[in-house]
Amino acid sequence: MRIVWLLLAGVVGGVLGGMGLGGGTLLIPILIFLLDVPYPLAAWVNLVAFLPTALVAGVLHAKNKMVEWRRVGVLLAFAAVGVLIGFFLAPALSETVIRRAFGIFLIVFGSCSLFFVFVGYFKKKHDKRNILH
Amino acid sequence: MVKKGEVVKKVAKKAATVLLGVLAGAANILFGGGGGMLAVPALQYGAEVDEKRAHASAIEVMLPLSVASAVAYTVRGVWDVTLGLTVSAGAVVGGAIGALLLKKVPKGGLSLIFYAVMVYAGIRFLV
Repeated sequence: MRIVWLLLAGVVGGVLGGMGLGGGTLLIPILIFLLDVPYPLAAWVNLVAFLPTALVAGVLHAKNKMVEWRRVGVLLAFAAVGVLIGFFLAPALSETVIRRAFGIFLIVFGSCSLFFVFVGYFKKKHDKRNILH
Repeated sequence: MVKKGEVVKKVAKKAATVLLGVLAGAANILFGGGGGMLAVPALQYGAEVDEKRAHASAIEVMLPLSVASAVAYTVRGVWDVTLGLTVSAGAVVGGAIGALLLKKVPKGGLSLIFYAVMVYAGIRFLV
């Protein structure tokens, strides 16, 4: 039965990821809180589960010439520095610290995104009204 | 003459790219995800790429980062093949459904629920 729930968790994460909402940020808490997967393993699962879909999407986007390769290169260079910092920092951080940091990360980004969705909604409404007048 | 405001704006954009880029990498390896949420705004606001292209480009950034992060976890002994394969299989199916839905369903309502759940999950991590 557990295997069905794990598959379903993957489906939920995949749907959200496929819609460009960032499924991973939700797959990790689902694995931890609903399916009792321990923290570092849930992180590994999310990283691995992202790969096949992202690979297909990555090839399609490249074929459709949707990728700004120069910008990707620049950002990747900075992100690589971040990965290195994280790699060497991780052993020094306790699981509690990482979980708290992730919690704060989710709260900050969740509420910022909620704010922007609302702003976008009201802006659209406002623009419509201006066109009518 | 270049206006002072424009210079400040340019520097701010560069700084946003650097900061969001480093944070995306660090988040990806420390949390095991969430880097994409930083890479998209880094491209959108830092490099003025439009939303669709920013999402597409962010995937190309996240791919090598996620491979590197996954390898780092595996090297440190954190891995479970059955678990990984099961969730990945679900994610492949879900990814296809998500891509199809994207063209048909307006994202507005769903994203509100998604972000609300995200905040809730964040609180659960704190308590």
